[in-house]
Amino acid sequence: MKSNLSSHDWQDLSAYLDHELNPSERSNFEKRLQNEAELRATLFDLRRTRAVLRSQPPVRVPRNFTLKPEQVGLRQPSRNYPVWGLVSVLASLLFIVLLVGDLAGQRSMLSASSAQLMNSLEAQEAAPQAFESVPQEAPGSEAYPPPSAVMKSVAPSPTMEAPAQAEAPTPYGMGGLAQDSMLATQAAQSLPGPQIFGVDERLWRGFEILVLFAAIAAGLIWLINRRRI
Amino acid sequence: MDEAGLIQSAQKGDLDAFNRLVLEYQNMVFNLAYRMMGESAVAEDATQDAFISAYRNIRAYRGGSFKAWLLRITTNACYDELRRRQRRPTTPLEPLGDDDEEIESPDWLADPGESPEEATTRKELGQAIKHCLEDLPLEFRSVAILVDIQGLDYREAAQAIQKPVGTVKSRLARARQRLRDCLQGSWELLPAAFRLEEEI
Repeated sequence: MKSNLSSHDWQDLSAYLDHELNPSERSNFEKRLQNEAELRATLFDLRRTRAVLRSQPPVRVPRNFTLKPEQVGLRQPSRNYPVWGLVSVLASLLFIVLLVGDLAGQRSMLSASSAQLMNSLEAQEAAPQAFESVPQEAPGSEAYPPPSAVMKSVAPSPTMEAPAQAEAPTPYGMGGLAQDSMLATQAAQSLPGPQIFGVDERLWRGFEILVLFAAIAAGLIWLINRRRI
Repeated sequence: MDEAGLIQSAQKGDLDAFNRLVLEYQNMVFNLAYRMMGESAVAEDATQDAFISAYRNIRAYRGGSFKAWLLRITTNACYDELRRRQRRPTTPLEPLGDDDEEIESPDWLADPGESPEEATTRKELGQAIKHCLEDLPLEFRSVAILVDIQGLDYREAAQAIQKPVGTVKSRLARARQRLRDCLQGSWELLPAAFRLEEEI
């Protein structure tokens, strides 16, 4: 059947159905409905059409559509992600402990060096007196302490000890002085290097650098992983 | 659900917050996609695309109806998918039954509480509506689905299709006119309540 309704009529019918006409439009349209059978019939059809569409049950969702990080360009955090953070923190703490130990060690070394310097000065002052009191004894006599013993009693520091001992006047002749100087050098070479808490300073420093690098590397890895997340 | 809070968190990149919104709206989005596309598998793809697009563009959301914003993205995802399919047509694969025949209305769409007769009628009517919707031009189809199936009002529908309310009004009227003509032969499938009801 050919409809005589205009597109405007269809719009009014549809809007009337959805209560989208303003009060005056609605009133005018209801007057037309009372007089026009075709309009009434079409409204009935439209209402039925809309009811049929609305009667359609919602389709059940076949699965969840929650997104995974990789679907939206986010990378999954590495399994080791928390471990790297922990390693970074622990290494940093260890580095701080080492640094504090280092400073404390340097302080004790400084006080030890001062004590050695004092001993050295005292030894220098005591040497001429000893020479005067025992003038003609043969070298190697028991009355004089051997130079190595003097060395040991003065200072473990090679930098402080050797020159002090070499410059100190001895009761020996020139031959004795040369021998003493040689012995002093040997003693200085055989002495252990500076130590921090009983650990060789160079070893300590190497360990410190290693820990520092470990802390920085673990921190960087952790940061990179964090940015990816 | 604190929707505004979840949206704000999602805008800061919180995927968990966004996924809670997904769970809230996935029914609505999938239903729109299903009615637009007519196939469950294709609707799944469109729904997934819509949510991915929504997550990527959520910073562009500036308030208003989140539902309408999401439906706009879904409508666009469906348009894109339909255009793709027009360029490369495919044969739909329906699930197979015991007799190796394709089932046009899969079991997961069935209401477990209805009788076999009701189920048959519902399936036939569903098919009739599906065919009539598919015959509509896209712009009419989307408005009819949004208003008559999803139950949006004119303003929400206007937001969802990014057109003025007047456009929604005219497109809806033309869509209903075509649907009425298309469904003329299917009125006998309607439950009695629909057939006998006639009022102004």
